[in-house]
Amino acid sequence: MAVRKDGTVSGANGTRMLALDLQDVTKTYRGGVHALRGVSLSVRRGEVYGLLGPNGAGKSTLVKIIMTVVRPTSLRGTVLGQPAGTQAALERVGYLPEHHRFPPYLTGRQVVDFFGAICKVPRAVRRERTERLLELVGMRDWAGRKVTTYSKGMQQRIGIAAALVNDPLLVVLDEPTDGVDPVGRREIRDLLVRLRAEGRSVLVNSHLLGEVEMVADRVAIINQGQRIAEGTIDELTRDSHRYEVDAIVPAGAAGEPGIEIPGASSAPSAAGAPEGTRTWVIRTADAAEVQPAIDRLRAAGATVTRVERARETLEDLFVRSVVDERGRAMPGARGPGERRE
Amino acid sequence: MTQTLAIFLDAYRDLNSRKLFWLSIFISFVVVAVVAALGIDEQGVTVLGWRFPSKFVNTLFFPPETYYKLIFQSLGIDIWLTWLAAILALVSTAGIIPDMIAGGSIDMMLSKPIGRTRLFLTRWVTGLFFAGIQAAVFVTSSFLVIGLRGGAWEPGLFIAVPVVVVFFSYLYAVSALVGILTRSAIASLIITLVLWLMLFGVQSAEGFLNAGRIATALEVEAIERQIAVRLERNADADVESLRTELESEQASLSRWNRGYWPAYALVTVLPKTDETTEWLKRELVRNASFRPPARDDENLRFFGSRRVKRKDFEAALYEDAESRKGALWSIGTSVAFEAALLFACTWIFRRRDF
Repeated sequence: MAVRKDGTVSGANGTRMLALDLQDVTKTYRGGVHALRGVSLSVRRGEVYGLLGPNGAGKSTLVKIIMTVVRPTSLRGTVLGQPAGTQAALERVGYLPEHHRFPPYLTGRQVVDFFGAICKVPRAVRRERTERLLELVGMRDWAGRKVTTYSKGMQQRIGIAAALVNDPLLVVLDEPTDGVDPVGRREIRDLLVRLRAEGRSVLVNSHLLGEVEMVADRVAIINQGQRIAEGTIDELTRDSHRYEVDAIVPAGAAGEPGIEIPGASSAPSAAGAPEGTRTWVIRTADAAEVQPAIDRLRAAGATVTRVERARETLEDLFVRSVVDERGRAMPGARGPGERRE
Repeated sequence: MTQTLAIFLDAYRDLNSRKLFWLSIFISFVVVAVVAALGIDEQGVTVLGWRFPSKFVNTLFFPPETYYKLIFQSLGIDIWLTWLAAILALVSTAGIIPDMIAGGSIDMMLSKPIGRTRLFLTRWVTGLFFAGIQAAVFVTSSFLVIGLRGGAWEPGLFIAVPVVVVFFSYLYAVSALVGILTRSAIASLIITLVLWLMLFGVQSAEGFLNAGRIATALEVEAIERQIAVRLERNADADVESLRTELESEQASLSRWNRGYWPAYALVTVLPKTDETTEWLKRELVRNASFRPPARDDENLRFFGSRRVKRKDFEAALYEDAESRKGALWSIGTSVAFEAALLFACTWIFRRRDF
């Protein structure tokens, strides 16, 4: 396994490797607190991977173990083909911690340059790259000012530039949009997409599920020190795929108000829809299965106003997964379905 | 090398941003400027051309060279470099390790391809820059003043720079250990100052017991000589009272020794701030033609006797220090203690989760 000069990660037989491949990571803090109970996860090359979980789930501990800030109780796996937990593995990894703190006596430019030097980036390369990254994160005009004069968002941008200064193949970002305004968030999202397009892998730990949903190729949900779900958002929400059909049912139409459609449920549409509008939910991911329902509605004299494919949001998935897990962890607790009733 | 240079450059920027650093450099210059403003001639002392006649402080007693060297020794080493400047350096550097291991900062550093041991030790070394730069500025200025005003160019003076850095490093190792354990700059500073005070107490106690031991040994020798002289003159001379006194002094010497050697053993394992300064002064006597340092008058008065002359006592103490308290004992054992502390720091730093 090796990291080539062009940045590709390859194995002995030339096959592309996982950027991050961790198996059975456990961490027990002094006092017997089990932060991680055998978590495994793999980040493929060129993908954005979202790490999700409630507070205290063990996400930060996992990230810190990857970055060698916390020592694992047990750890198997590789980072960019190097044994995880070693210094060599970190040479092409960029990291932005959640509550980062820069030396207050440095300017933004000096921060980026300093961390480049600590990553052993040669001076000439560092200079050119620092300017390019400052431009990339929109901080070039303020790069000569001390970091203490920066807003949280500006510090976050400098942090991202510092995380990229070693031309990383794997970028680990802990709450990258924390304190950043909506415009800045969009820029950061665009940056993540750009990093992915360049073939880099990005591991994002964020509470902003909407943000993650927009960019992540795959996500893992961690709860109580265990990985409870992993996959693409599509895979994880497969059971929730559905079509929603809105139709205005005229008074006196056959079967009015809720025209019976096999396998579908109906309810009055949400506020804002024209009067008399109902929504039929058909649980399928196949558009062909919806056609008979539309035909039936039209045959009954209803006017179809909207047909939309829908699925559970990442937030729904997250809440469901975590609540399910809590339900399992606490005998007698109610499941999510019961709560809806 | 790129990493080490980056950490050194960062340390320089850190120092540069600290007002206390520039204040202490400024004070160093002021102290040297004040010394340079002082002059000495046959009639007394001059200050910026103003003459203050003195019967004792003039070139008949002190050649200009000796005058400036004495000032360097008593003001520069005894007061400024080894007390006030060291305290300023401790105040200024106490936060370096706690700041490095603070949440957010340490994550940024440990996530880079640099070993924990190397990171800690390099950062610790940068803490010595403060004392090093300060000492270098002060000693260079003093070298120029002694050369230009005193007419003696003594490159041997520059030994003071590394010795002051080593002296400071004992304290800074303590500061680093407390810093890494408590993560607090204030705790680090206070505990280091308290420990320094305790070290001063232990070393003073050892010095006191040593002075008592040597004075009593000289007394014993003097009585033995007196008895021998009397018996030589007259074999039947009455020396009973002398023998009684001798026995009493021998018993006293035995008590002094019983007190002294445990104190000596304790001082041997601890960092020796005072002894390092004393060693530096003796080194300046050897290599920069300084006068042997005068011993504490209080001790001399306390241990003086009719039989033992002050000059002999002073010479015996100096000889004793020269023979037993060389660089290996004064500095070597202190550095060993420091190395043990740094090993503990590194061990903790390597194993800790941040």
